[in-house]
Amino acid sequence: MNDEELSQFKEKVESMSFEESMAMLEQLVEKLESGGAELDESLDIYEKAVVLRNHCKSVLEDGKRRIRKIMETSGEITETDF
Amino acid sequence: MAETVTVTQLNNRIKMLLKHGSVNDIWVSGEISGLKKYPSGHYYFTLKDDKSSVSAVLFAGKRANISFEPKDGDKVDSFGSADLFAQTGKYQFIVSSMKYSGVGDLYAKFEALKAKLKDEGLFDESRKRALPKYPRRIGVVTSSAGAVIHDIITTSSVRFPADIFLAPCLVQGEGASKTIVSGIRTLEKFGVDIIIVARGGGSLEDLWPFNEENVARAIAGCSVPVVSAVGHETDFTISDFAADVRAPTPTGAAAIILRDRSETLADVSSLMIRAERAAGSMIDRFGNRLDLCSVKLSPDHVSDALDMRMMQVDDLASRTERNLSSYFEKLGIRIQAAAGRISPEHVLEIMRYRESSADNLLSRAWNSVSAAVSRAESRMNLAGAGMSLKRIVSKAELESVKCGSLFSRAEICVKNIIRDSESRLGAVGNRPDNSANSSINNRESYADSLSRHLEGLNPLSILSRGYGFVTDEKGNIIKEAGNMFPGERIAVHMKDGFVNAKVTGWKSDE
Repeated sequence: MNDEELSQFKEKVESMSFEESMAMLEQLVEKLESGGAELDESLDIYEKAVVLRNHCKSVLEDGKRRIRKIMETSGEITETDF
Repeated sequence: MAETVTVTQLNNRIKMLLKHGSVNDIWVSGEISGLKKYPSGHYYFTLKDDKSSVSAVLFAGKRANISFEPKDGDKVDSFGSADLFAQTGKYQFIVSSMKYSGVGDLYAKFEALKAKLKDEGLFDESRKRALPKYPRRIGVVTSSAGAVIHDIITTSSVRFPADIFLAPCLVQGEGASKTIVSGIRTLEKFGVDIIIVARGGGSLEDLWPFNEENVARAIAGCSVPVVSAVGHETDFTISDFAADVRAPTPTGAAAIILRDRSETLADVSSLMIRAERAAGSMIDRFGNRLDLCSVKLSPDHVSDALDMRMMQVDDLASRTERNLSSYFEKLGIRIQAAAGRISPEHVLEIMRYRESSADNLLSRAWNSVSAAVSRAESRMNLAGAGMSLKRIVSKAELESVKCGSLFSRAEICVKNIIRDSESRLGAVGNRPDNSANSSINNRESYADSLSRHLEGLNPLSILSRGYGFVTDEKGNIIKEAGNMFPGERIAVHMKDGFVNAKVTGWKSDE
């Protein structure tokens, strides 16, 4: 992958859910292990796997989460810190 | 002045009041709930009706007075007395006997609703949805006050990071079920991946809102998966049956929904290790191939290979040179040979030889004819010369034909040589040698002129021009008039035959 493709892929991964990322990572690893890919493709796959790994890892290690209270009064939802 | 007493004194006085009041040896009718049997054999439970409840205890020693195993929801008439537990100031009804009077109202309601919803298929396994593996937004419907929400927050803190959105509700009492339903609806609208409906432990009455039909239907009809976590592990509610997954406790719900963070991290790492190993072995494989190529491409290897090739080229070149030069040599010899064979001198020599022999023949023929004529002149009476003359003529003709055939053979031969030389020259490589060509052309035209010359020498063609020759009776050609004598019989040979003649006179040209 060239730089542009790589940054495009990173962008795509950023918008992916953790579950999608993990599923894609698993898929890529299986493809790599099957050995069916050419060297170029394998390196592409590996680069993608690294991007996905970093994404998953940052989600897991960041660990930031919001704990909010959700109230609905006359059809309007309000959100406050809990 | 009012009396001052200690707490203990107060409790003791109340205990005395109870002892002498109308709360001893009476039947109390109510429903059992929150029953707990201790290893000691004592039973602790609550007796209640639809308005009130009271703690009750059945000591192990009195168990024998009862013919059935009491359980939650049983409607019973209990015989006993009220007593104060001085340490806590709470009073209890001490049961000494008990009569079973039927199933409790709440329990009956629970069973009826459960059966109804089950028949409807609301609890069917096929309706159960799989929980999202990694939910990022978790909705919780529970009290904002109790320990439950804190248990969920604490448990989830070390697990997969997910936002927690609490929709507070009432978890017991009148109207609680409505707030649970609206909590579920609000979270659905707000947008979450999964909803936990939770409540801490409590009596059947306490948990009752989670046994109501509207709550069960809201859970079953929710657009996202719902986990119910109501009461303790032993408590079952209608919500549990309606939910996609039942968690034993609120803490358990968080653990079920969210995977352990370090476990997940390990999963990611192990996937990555696999990816690295696979990519590594792939790279190794290509690396080995590359190494092989590098070795083959190394300067030493290349120069070795080049040397080898150069040697082969040299070898080939010298062999080619040798072959070519020997080929050219041979070709040259052949060309020379061919050229030699068709050299004008050579051809001319042949032609001259032929010419002289033809001359010879002709002169001999003339001599014979002259002699014959002279003899014919001298021996006029001699006959039969015709035959001889005929023979001579045919001999001459034969010679002439021989000459012709020799010539045409020579001609064919020369042409063949020329053609041969031309094709050889062509094969030498399209380098037309002008001088060779012109030399060949010269020889060709020379050969043609010789051919014409030879044609001119043909005795028959001379005869066709009106000449004749003379032979004697024996057929010898007579070349000179002086060789003939008058009266000799001769024959004069013409193109188409001969005439017999007799020499009548003789005259010298001189």
